[in-house]
Amino acid sequence: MRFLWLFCAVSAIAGPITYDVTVDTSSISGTAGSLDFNFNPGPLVTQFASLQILNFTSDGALAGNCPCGIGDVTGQLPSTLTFDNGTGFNDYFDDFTYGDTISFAVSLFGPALSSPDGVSTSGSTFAFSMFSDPVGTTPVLTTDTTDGFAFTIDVNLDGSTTVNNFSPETTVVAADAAGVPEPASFALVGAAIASLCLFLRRRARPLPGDFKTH
Amino acid sequence: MASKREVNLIVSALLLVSAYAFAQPPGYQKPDPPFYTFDVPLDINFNITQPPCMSVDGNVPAYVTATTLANMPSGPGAANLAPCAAGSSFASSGSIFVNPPVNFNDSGNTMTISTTDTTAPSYSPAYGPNWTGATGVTYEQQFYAPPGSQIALSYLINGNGYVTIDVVSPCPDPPGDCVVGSTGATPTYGAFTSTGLPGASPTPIGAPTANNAVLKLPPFTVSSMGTYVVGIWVTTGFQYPFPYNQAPYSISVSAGCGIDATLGNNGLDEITGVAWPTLTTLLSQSATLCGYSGFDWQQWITNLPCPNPFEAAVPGNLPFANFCPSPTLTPFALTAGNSGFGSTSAPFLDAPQGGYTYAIVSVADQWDPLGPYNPYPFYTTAGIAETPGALVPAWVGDPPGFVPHPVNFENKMLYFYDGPSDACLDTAGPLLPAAAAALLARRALDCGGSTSTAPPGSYIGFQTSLVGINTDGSSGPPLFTWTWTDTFNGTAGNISSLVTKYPVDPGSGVGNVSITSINGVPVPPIIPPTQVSTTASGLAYSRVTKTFDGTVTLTNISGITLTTPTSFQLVLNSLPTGVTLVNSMGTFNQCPYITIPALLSLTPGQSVTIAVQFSNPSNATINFTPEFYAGSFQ
Repeated sequence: MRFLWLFCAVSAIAGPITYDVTVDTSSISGTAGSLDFNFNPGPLVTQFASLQILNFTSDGALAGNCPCGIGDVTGQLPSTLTFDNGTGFNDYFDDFTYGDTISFAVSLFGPALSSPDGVSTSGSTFAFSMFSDPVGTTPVLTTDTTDGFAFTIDVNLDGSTTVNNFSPETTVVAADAAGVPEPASFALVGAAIASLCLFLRRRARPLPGDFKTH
Repeated sequence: MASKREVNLIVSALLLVSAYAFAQPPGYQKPDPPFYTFDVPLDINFNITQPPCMSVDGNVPAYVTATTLANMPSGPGAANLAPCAAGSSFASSGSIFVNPPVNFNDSGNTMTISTTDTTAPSYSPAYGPNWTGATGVTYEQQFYAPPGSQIALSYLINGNGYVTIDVVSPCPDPPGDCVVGSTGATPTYGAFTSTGLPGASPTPIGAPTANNAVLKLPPFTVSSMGTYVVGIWVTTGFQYPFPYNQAPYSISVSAGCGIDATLGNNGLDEITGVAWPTLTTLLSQSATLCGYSGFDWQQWITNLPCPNPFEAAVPGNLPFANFCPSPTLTPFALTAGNSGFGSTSAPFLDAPQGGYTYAIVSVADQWDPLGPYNPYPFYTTAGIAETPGALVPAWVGDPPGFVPHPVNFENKMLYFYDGPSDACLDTAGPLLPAAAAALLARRALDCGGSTSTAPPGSYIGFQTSLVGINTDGSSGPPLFTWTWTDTFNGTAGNISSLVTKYPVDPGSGVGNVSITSINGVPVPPIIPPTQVSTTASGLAYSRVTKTFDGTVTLTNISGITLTTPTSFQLVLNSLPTGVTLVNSMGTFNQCPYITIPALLSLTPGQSVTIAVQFSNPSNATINFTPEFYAGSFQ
């Protein structure tokens, strides 16, 4: 019985939300530029969240002039990068000579996504930018000429995420979209599991009516 | 020997002074004036090509405008000063001090503050295009002053070269009515060299460096309303033209007594303030600069309805009118303003001379004997406010918890705190059943009956000032003043209180603090956080703009439609040091704000989202306290 409740608790924790990112960089192939990733909290009370950059692949060349991270960032591309929103500025910036494509996955996880506390007042935001210069001043492959973001992902207060894509050359799609439920789906699934647990728990002990039959 | 440039400077300034010195009416008797100080950081790195003008009809709030001129008018040119003519220009006498002429083209920089306003305006224009090679620049500050104002100015000059400050009046209406500032026989009030010392030789000793020099103008009194001009003339030697050895290339000028203040927690159930020195490092240094032994707060109760539980420990120190009229349910209670029972009375100091009956010192210290806590005439006992780290004395019945020290250990901050509570206020709002029952019990003790309250809508009114402590222990004139109201009807430390040092008891009542004016400038109504929620996105860092960008969403969580006659404002209070709001539309109470465009009402449940953009060179964690106002800031 104790094992059964443990199972139910674990089931209530949602998995990461993952996006697959692909960028067609063929128009700037050969350009010695730079890439920037940052994941920061908001200016009010922010619940903890983490993010990983996974499976970074490209026919371009990373300079690897690292350390490249500032704040709560670990790892080095093309290996996995892990961010969390524990400090105000969590950034990874590296020189990069563009090839024809870049692809990677962005995986978001942590309490802000799996169990929103309902009292936090700020979300967190991930931003990815590409530049045509090594110092990161001239953005490329984006229509966001003001800030230079290729795309951003907001972690919302209800645990959902919102993608804002400013780059026609970039696709950002939920990994296994069918497996990335909306918050309402989480609620439905949670309710179903809870009902199942209650049902099984009830089945595990005699019911008052059962005594009557003896 | 004085150089030709210096001779010209002195002669010109003498002409200016002599032109106006005799405008003072014969037999003029200096009134007992209100005392105004300016604490206005100015930056001469900008220009207003069309100086804004001001009404001289006396119907406008006192204010200051500023402009940078190519040259300080002097000699016959001074007669051309016409600051009240729209689009006025200020004639140059062809000074030799500018080579090439300083010719700024920036525009639109106007500050509008009251003569009592010590709020620092912020400027962000780029450095002037023609500074390179200039050897002299002038800054002219104009201010409108009501009759009888006493003006004292001191300036912090950071730059190289020499500085001259002239105070003249262009006599706006009619000519001859204005008073020249009593600035002495010579128009030169200071000069600084690489030593940074005022009054030193005007000849640079070696290459000048950017220095701070405090130059003080003696107080002077104006006899009629009008526009007065302070000209600040900063020159360097030809061998050291601007910009020279300055980083950044700027000359900042601030005026005032060297202390400024800001407020916090507006809209909540407590209010905080903090004052800090602007011209010096330590509070005590600033106090010395201003001729005081220290700084303190002084608070007046301007409105206190009956019934209430507040009684003076020495009733004889207050006029009869300051006691609740008979018959009331608490006949010995104090009152001010509208008693709610048909009488009115003058404000009284909080705490009154002799203190309150509820605040009794339980452990004597060097400043406070056993007995009623009696900081009169201040809000905090003067000795405590002058001593870094000193604590407000323990009172009988003090609950455990935070005990404040009005001055921090570093002697750099003077704090103000108050969380007034009055169970007799009939403030509407939800309470948990236990708290509601406790409130009834408190009213039975404090208000003459569990169902006895002050009239609905009643509030306690306050006027609080930052003041200097004179060496004789008396209070100096207000340096920073705000008015505010409080409607909180719970308790602080389980009692109703006025002077207090403990936070209110959470959930013990409803109501909030509302600041109504700062330095005479009305503050629009704040919408408390119980009516509007504030949420924010994360902040994405842009390497292009070098800013942290995000959004803030405001949602009406009340059951009523919130309206404004002009616009809503979001104030970002308590931003960390070094963090600035790039898309700020101005400052209020030293804090940046954003005007929400094209929104005059917010229906229940409706949200509005606005962009925020922060500069944060040190990559600090950005946070702020949101304040939402229904109305424009003047």
